[in-house]
Amino acid sequence: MKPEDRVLAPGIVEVYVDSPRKLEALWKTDFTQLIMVMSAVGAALAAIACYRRVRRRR
Amino acid sequence: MEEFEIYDVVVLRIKAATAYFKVDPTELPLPSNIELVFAGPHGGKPKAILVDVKAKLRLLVNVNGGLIPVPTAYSCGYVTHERVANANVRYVGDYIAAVAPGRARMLQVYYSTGAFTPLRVVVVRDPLKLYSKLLFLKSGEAIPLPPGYVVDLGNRTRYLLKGYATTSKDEVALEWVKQFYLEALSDHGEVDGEGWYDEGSTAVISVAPEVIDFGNWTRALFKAWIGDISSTTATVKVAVDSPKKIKALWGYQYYLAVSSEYASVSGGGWYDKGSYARVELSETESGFLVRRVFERWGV
Repeated sequence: MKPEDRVLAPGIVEVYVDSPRKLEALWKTDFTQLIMVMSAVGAALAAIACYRRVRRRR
Repeated sequence: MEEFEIYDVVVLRIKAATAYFKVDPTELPLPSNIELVFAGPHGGKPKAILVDVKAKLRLLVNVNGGLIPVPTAYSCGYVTHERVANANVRYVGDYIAAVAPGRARMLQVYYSTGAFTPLRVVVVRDPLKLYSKLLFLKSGEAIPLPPGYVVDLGNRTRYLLKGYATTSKDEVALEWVKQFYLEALSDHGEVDGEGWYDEGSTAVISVAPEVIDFGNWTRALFKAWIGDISSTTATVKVAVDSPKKIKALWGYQYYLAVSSEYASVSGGGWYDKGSYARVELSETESGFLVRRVFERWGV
């Protein structure tokens, strides 16, 4: 990016063309959803396991 | 009063480099006394004094339509011994006597018994007053046109000799056409139509191609002709009424390449130099559980 370029919004940019240019969108990987789902599943499994153990003792 | 015989008295007032007068007709064989004499015929006082004459004289006789030189010439009357001063006469070849201020001598300038090739006189009239002259041409000899055929007037203007028109049997008129130079300049492409054009004509100037790709994501586009004429089309008709100078105006464009591993991106392509291009992703996040999130633009 050059100083003359203007970022209008995430994913939207105005590029000043004073020479041949190449612009590439760079992405990152977000595991947040996966972690949340995995955590929820793990918590559910733990809860089920606890529930079964309590029922066996009775 | 002294008696003498006058054959012919001719007064010539010449305002030209060359002139001639004709005495017709003349029979064959030529009279023995026909001759070119510079001074004469009177031998008494006052004597003929040349003040300021510089001329080349040739006397031709019309014989059956062809002109031939008289067979002999004298500086002054050979027998009558005219008195003449300051008139130098000498032979310069081709039956021509040159007369100029100088020591006057009585002499026979030339004498010939040879066969003459008949000549014809052609009056060349030049509207520009540059090549007006008399031509003595041999039978079948073409009229020699002025060398170069061009008179440069400066300021990209000239006269071009197109040819001549025969206005009478013994007279031709040179035909000139005024021309102007049309100069067409361009930093790119091939310009066609630059050159000399007749006044009043229509010239067609063009430049091609209109788009020139330099191969490094840079290209030039024809914008307009500027200068003495203005036009936004690459091919333009020009009325030639004066010298003109025009120049092709080009605009430059650069290629903007955009890419994205995820989501589609718009805005790539050719853009004018110094302009702004709007580049936009179709979405900034994609995927489920493992998501791809737009972070920044890289170059």
